[in-house]
Amino acid sequence: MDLLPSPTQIDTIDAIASYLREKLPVARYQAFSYDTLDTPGGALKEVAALGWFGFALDEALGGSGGALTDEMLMMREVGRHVAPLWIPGGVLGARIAALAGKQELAAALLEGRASVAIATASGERPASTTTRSGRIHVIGAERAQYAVLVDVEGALLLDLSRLRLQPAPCIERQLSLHHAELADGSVVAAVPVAKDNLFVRQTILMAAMQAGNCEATRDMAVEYAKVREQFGRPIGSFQAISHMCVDMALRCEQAWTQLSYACLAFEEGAPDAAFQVAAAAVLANRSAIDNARANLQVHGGIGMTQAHSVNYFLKRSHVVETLTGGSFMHLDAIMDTAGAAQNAGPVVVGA
Amino acid sequence: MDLTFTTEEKNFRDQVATWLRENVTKEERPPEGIEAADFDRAWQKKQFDGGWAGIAWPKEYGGRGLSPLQQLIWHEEYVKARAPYIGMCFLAVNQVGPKLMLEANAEQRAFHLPSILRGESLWCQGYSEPGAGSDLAGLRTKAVVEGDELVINGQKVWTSYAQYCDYQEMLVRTDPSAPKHKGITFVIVDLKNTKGIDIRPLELMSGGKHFSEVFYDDVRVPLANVVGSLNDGWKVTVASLAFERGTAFMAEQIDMANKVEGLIQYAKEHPAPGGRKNAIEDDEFRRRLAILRAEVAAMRAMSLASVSRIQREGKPGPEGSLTRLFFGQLTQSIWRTGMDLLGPERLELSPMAQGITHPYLRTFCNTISGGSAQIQREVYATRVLGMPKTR
Repeated sequence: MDLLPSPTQIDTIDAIASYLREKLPVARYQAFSYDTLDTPGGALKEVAALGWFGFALDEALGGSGGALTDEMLMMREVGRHVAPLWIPGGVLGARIAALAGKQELAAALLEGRASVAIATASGERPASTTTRSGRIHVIGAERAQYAVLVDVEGALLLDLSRLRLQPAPCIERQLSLHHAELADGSVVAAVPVAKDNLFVRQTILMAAMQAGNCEATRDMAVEYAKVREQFGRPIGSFQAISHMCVDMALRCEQAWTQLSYACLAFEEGAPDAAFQVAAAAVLANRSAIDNARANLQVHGGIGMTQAHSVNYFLKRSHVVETLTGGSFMHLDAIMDTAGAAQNAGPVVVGA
Repeated sequence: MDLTFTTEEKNFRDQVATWLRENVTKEERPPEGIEAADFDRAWQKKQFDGGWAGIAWPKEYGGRGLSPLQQLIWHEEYVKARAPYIGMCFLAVNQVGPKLMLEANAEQRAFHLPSILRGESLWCQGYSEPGAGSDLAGLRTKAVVEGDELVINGQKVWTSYAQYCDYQEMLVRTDPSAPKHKGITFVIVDLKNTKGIDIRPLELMSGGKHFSEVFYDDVRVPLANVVGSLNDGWKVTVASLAFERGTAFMAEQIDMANKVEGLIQYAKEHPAPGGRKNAIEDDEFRRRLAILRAEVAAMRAMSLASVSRIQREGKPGPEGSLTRLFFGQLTQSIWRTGMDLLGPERLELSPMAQGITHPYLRTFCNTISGGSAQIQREVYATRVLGMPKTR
């Protein structure tokens, strides 16, 4: 039993973080003009060449055969940098295509020849992967060719050119947002939950982004509190500020340790995995949003501006919460999971 | 990263579970008084005789010399078996023992550690004073060296179980002219065989005489009872704090899952106060209980992460303060939810009533004792986050 990343995993994390810092830093948003969208561009092929889209995909299917924990560690870094959503989109899209037996499509996605947006069921008639009808919101559809739609019953890869996309302004200004009616004819690959639980996978990857997000805002708030001076001293010397930062640190621990446990429980087929994952989603969403809000408060007025990066983390935390299916759904899952009563407690996997 | 246990660890778990199944008494632990003290001593002795006391303690002190992970397995099975609360042995086994292992001399360790494990000595703390709570280093109980003795005069307060204990671990001021952290000495006081000590129990708001005021009037203690050296007591105390915060509460953390499951069961069987449906069908209660379940899971994951860190680095990381902070908050929200779930039954107060009101009142201590939530935050902010100090 070891909940900490291995030395090899730590090296991988460092490599991923260093690419993101250099090529896709949070600061890139500041260079964008008002109506610039954060579309893939050259980074898509680079990320593909680094193998990010096939990290945890079987080697026989064109991936690197890594573990879901590796992918979780990667997405934590992605979240820390508010990096593009076509990264998780590509990971999920390539997996759906590969598992559905669409080798050519999978290869195209793994190589970064097309990019993948993320769709989520929405509105009064939310879409379902079973009926293949209903309303969806698509995030990042601009310049993307495909979108994934994942729910508890299965996962679909959609051809965006076969959907009537209606644009809407997005809370993250650099992201495109559309709504649409899901059309059966747009489905190019489908994987039922019995074949692969992409819902849990997507939940874990999104929760990992939230974990990275809340760690980043903790660090931002702490650093700012050390340098910003009022009343002749750093605001971090005031307990009203420093204790807020400690609460941010606690939320990071809650989110990350629970997610690590849940991911391992799922990978190892533990009987309480569904419960652990739902708990991880709830805590990761709450930690990310609460930390992003606290970070804004620590920054004061500058945090309200579009120019400062504080707002990107806040907005992203809401976007990603939405993409986990929303916390209420996971709260229900926590209460509905069979066996959670016993397994929430002392039972340890592998015992 | 993995959750799997080795064959050795699995076998260990089986042995633990079997022993507990056969040896956990069906008898309820008395809630307080000398009966509780006797019960706690007897249960500790039984664990020792069975070879289960001090699992991660070195063999030379009567422990088993096993890993922190095996200690955790013990705690998990302990809670599953609904074994009794450790009670008055808590301080001796979880805090004094590890502290003495780290800081005491060979003679002190040989004398005290085995008797702690055997349940022969109950310990209390002598830290807080009327004028020194969160500002512990401001303590004023003074001790003067006379020959080979320390002569202690002053007062301690909030001393849990003082009236039943055999020994007290105490901080006294031995150099009033030094800066406040530098003039403190850590000393062991034999409560049963020392003159001049007056223990006056205080009643808790939940009833019962859990803690006391303790007065010292020319109390003579051998210098040989000083742990570390004179005026070095603050260092002695701080050095072991990480262990206390990191691991001491593991069993109670794991036990919280049982408490939350108890509340969920209650909510399934009883209407929400003022409501028509069972509480579990009420969205607000349902979600509050779901959050508690999730938080309890996270608490446990944090404990596992701590154990992982101890296994890898030999000591707990700085996250101990956060775990302690979370533990206090979580126990309070669990029992607050319990109070909300109960109807007018919540007004019945006795340790044996519905099992909610009494512990609810007791949970307030979880963000006060052993360093208040604010002090935990302050320690983490300055030592880990590197925030500028306020003082």
